[in-house]
Amino acid sequence: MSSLSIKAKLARVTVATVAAGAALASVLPTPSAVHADPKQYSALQGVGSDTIEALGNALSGFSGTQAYTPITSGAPSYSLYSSWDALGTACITTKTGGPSFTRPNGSGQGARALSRAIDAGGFGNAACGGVKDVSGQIDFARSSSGPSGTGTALTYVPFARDGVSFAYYRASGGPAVTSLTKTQLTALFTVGPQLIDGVNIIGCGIQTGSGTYTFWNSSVGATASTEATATTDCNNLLGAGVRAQENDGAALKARGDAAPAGTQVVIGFSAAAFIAKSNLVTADPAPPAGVGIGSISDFGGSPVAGTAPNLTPNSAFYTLAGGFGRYVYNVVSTARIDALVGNTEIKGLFKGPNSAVCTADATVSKFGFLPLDSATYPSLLNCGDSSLKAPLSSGQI
Amino acid sequence: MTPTTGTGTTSFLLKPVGGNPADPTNAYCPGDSATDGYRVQTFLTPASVDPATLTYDVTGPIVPAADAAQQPYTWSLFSINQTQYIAYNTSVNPKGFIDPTQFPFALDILSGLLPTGDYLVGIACSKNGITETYWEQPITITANGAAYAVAVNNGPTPVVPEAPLSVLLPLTGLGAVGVFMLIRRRKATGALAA
Repeated sequence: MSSLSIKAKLARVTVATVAAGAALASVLPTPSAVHADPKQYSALQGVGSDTIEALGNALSGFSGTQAYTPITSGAPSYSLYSSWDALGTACITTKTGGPSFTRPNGSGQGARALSRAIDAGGFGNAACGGVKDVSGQIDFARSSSGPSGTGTALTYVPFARDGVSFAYYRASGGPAVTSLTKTQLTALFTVGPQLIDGVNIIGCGIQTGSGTYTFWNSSVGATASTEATATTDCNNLLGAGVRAQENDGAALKARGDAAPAGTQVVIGFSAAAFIAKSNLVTADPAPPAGVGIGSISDFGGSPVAGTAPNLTPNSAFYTLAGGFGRYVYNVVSTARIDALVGNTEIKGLFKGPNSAVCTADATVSKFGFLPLDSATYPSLLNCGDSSLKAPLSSGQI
Repeated sequence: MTPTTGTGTTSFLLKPVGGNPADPTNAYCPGDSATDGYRVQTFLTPASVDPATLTYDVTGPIVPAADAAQQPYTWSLFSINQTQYIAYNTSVNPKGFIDPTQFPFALDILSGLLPTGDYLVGIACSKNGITETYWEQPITITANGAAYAVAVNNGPTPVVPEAPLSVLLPLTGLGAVGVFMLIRRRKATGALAA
């Protein structure tokens, strides 16, 4: 109630000041509206997916050891795209003067952080001082998993295609099994370890905030529960219930080295990430020796073609209907991307086939993704399609 | 607000002051964004809407249910480059400082959406989307087809929400304000009591 009283008082004072306006104006400096601050200060800020982070860095201007031309939203605002990795310092401050909050790790946390930026519900954990109001601090989320649920507050804007297969590693006992069927993968990730071609193969769990985790489970027919049970052996190799960061070849090798002799470990892995890392265009090292990406013999074969450092996507694998290909997305507020007026920054960067992200084909390809070219792949969604809606994602982290 | 007249393509600038008695020539939120959760918002709304009742989300200002008919005419401010001023951060040092030069605004992006009438434009400090303090400037917008004529309709003053008036005003102006406020307060007290 006291707060309301103050506001009412403020309103009355407002009226009163009019009488003294000329005198007041005479003692105030005339502000300048001329701005020359760096465009980076007004860049749109994105968080989320590990799979897309290296590409996001390139679109921001630098990835691995190479500089790229930063994309902008174009006229009239020429806003830049800025992208925060899934891993790094525990806390991030995305905009000048803003709160330091927990770095979102993966597509799931990215979507939740964006959702809290929209509804001011607070995001974060004790590692960064608790739940923080992140409204205004996040403009988009990278996501390697698609929309789910009923609602329209979020828009998932597809911009490229990825493939997901299994990465493998066998420390000893002979060559690894490099080709599996979908049925075999389903058994590995819904039942548990399998003896295939004489090799004991165990499935490993991806950290659950990952879009690749969500997509992989969906592709092999696993639920969170069945996957958790089926990957228990692997998840206990480096401690109790320790899941691997997505698309981390070294993490898979560490588990394989800790497994019983002759055992092979497998895990869902983004083909785009495997290509980009193998081709040494990211800040991450190439997958360790012995870590490869396998073929799914009845669903498109190998997701990659060629040899490192010149791996390329197998477009047939990436685009096979009902297979292991997936879209990757930038997730934004529907209110902004569908706004009647304004928000040219969001629209210029993401919306429609002529948006900045959708015209960065060379960069997108370099990181192992397949650009959404409606002429070449008419059955796929158009790049920049803004028709895929979802509700806000609940939770504080 | 400068300039005091213009068109839809004119870039206007507000100059709020208040919120920190130690620095009466600038404007401050009650706290900062980094640790206190305040955000700097902007608004344009029909003059019949009390800016204290506005809330803010990712789309900008939201009128209360009682003023729902005014929502189509209530917007955040936009730059000449169509940047929408929503949920900006305050300065950390000085704590809570608002830099109004961040918010030069123009109305051309709203062409055809605003009928002729009296409006309020302003800057607000919100916390969790709720207005905590605000500065308002009455203006008159005259719509002529898709074009606008804009005039500050109460003189060239920025609006001051808090005590620094008494520090800032020349003595001659201060006397006049004091009398005026006394009259207003009596009226307001009567209304509240009733």
